[in-house]
Amino acid sequence: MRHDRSIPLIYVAVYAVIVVIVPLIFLVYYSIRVSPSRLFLSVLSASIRQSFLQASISTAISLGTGLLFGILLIIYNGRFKNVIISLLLVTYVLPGIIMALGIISLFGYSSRFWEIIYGNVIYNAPLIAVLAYSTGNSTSIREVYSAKVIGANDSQVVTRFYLPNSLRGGMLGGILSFILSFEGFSLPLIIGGPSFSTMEVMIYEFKNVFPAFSQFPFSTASFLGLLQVVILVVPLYAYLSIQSKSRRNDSSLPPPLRRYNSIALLGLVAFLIFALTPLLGMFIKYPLWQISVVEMTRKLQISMAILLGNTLVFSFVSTFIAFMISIVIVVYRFSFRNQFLILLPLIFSPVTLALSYFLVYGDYIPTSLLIILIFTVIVVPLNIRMMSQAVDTIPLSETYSSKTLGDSTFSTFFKVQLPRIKWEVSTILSLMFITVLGEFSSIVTVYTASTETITVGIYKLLLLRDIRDTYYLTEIFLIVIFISSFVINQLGKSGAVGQA
Amino acid sequence: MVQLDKLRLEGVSKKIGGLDTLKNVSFRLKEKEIKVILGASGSGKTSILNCIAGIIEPDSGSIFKDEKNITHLRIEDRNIGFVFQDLGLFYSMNVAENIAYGLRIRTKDVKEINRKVVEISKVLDIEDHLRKFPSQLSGGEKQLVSLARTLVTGPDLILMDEPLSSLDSFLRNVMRWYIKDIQQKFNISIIYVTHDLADAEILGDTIAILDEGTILDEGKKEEILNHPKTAGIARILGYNLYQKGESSYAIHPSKVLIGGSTKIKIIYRERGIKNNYLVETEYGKINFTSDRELKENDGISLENSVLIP
Repeated sequence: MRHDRSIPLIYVAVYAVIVVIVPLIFLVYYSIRVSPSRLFLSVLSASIRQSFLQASISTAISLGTGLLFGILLIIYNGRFKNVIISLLLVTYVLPGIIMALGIISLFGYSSRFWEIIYGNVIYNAPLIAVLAYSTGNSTSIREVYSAKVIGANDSQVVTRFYLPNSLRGGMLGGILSFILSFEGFSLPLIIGGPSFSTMEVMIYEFKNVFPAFSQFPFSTASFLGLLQVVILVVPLYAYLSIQSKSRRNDSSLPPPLRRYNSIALLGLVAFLIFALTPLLGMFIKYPLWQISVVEMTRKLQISMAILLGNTLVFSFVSTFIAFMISIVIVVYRFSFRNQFLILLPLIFSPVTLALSYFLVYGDYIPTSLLIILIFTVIVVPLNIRMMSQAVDTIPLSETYSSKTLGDSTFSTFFKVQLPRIKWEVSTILSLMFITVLGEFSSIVTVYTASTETITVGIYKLLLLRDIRDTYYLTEIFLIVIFISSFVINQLGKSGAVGQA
Repeated sequence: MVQLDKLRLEGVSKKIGGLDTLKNVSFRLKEKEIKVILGASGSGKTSILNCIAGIIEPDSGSIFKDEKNITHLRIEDRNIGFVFQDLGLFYSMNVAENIAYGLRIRTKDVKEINRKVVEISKVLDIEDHLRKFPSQLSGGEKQLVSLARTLVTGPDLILMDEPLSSLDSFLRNVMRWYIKDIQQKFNISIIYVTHDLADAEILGDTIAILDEGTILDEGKKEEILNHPKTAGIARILGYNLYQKGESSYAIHPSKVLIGGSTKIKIIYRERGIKNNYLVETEYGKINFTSDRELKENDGISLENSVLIP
């Protein structure tokens, strides 16, 4: 219906070829050279079984928990609402390796299946809760009051109005939860051990630990990567097809269920305690003031400055590039076909992505650039989706007013749309930044001695069984995450990206 | 002297979601003319404006402005003002910034921009609100800001999409005359879409009646309002329809006279600013308003009825 010019197919096609098609062709090329021994088949079936089992159970529990707390978020209308949402999002974007270490700090090194599930639920339930809240909260308050006027009670209001609307976002989160748990890496690698290895862990193992498992290097890892792509295509297609539009609910009417405010707050606080306990446990067990950076540096054989520098540079550069790409794509509205091509990199899990990019570009570009490329491709699709949803909440008449007054599409975005969503943009920027900052599975697949980041450092300390220093580095990392995301958030709200 | 068309639509059709929203719509708008497009909700009024502004592209047909084909021209290159139903004010900017927005695109001269903003805000009596944000304004004030923002760039054609629909009766009455006044002062052509007959009566030079995406009739206001050509048009204009012998007639509630040969039975009588009646006649039910009190033996006169061909 819109008359705007969309991005020509040729640009999108070039993007798709570079970031998806060529890496996919390489994966296929390597895969067909795999030698299917009996051992390989048994490893394959065990990892597929684990991926499915962990993903299904985690998703079922996360969906129930997330929906319940999503509805509590809708009901609660107190002053801590934004704080609660931020804390839930923090839980979601926290690096998996930190969550894994947090769980170990609680339960010890016991390698239990249900601890992986607990970790997955802590990750996915907050995401589902926030998504369910965002669609559920768009329920028309006028409709709810109309129902109440003709006799609907509070539970009917929840089941007939809020729950169905929350389900739209909840289902979207559920699909995402399944995909993320299926691609689970840090939790099964660190908590689970060999008996609970998922496909993602095995791809990493066959790439880095046993590259010569078959006669053709990397063919086993490529085969597993390709198989995972094939398995996840269907849920990914479902995820991309579901539109979870939320709209600004500008009604001035009071919230219909405000009398349950305190109960909802209590439930939400309980949920936050459930989700954040592993983190708190870590800080209590290993207080930060006992840290010895010199000792840690000696064990890591790399200076803390280089470790921090690598982490921040890779993250800042890839966040910046991803943000710029996303702006161009969001400004020039794209057709479904183009949108599908742009989101196509989502078919790769981080480890598969890293493996395929290593196979294609590893010999031609420095590892640091390879890492930035991988990080950028990881965050662009989700960033585009979140930005598009934020832009869609602005009334079209504002955009078209600007254009009928003579402004261009690009300028309209910066002058009219961006200032209206600057809070959302700063949140998206922070989320993107934290996501790449904590990226572990992809970088552990391709890093070299000079491109180590903090997550790799944490993992190395863990492999050295130096538990104390592992936790201290993790705590430093958490502080880096909070400070840098705070800075980005402030930048976004105050001007650099948010102002007209 | 031949008067050129400011705007001309030729056979514009548009399908939205598989439905024929506009079917072969054609009309002309002269310089300095206000054309009111009158139609019920869902008749395609907004879609016509969206096609003219370039927000949607017609599937077929052409749109000419000043004899130039603008059917495929970009929105920002058309120089057409648009006052949206929800006004489309920029909520992240204050009133002055809203008004200055279009000027900033056209000139870098800050003094000139400031001068024009102050000038238009004085004309529309909103200079006290320049530092306020849209969320701090009343409905009428928002309306004026939207008008100011549109007028300040000097468009020669303005599209208005039911801009008064959210205002109370008093403000609606005031704003109708305001728009009329503005049009005279700025010598602009306006296409105004509405479902409200009062808007059409006060604002329109010409009227087009739209129903299910089709223009049913178009012409001078007096002609369209007083001589509906079909029962459908009469219905949209609020006429009573009745059958007398083989012929169909229509009479507007304001044209029914008390005292006449048509016998009546009063069904309802409601006293308001005027007297409102629903009466039973030998031709069916008729509703009308009058300043006079009606008694059943007075009868009514239907002599102002219009024969529907």
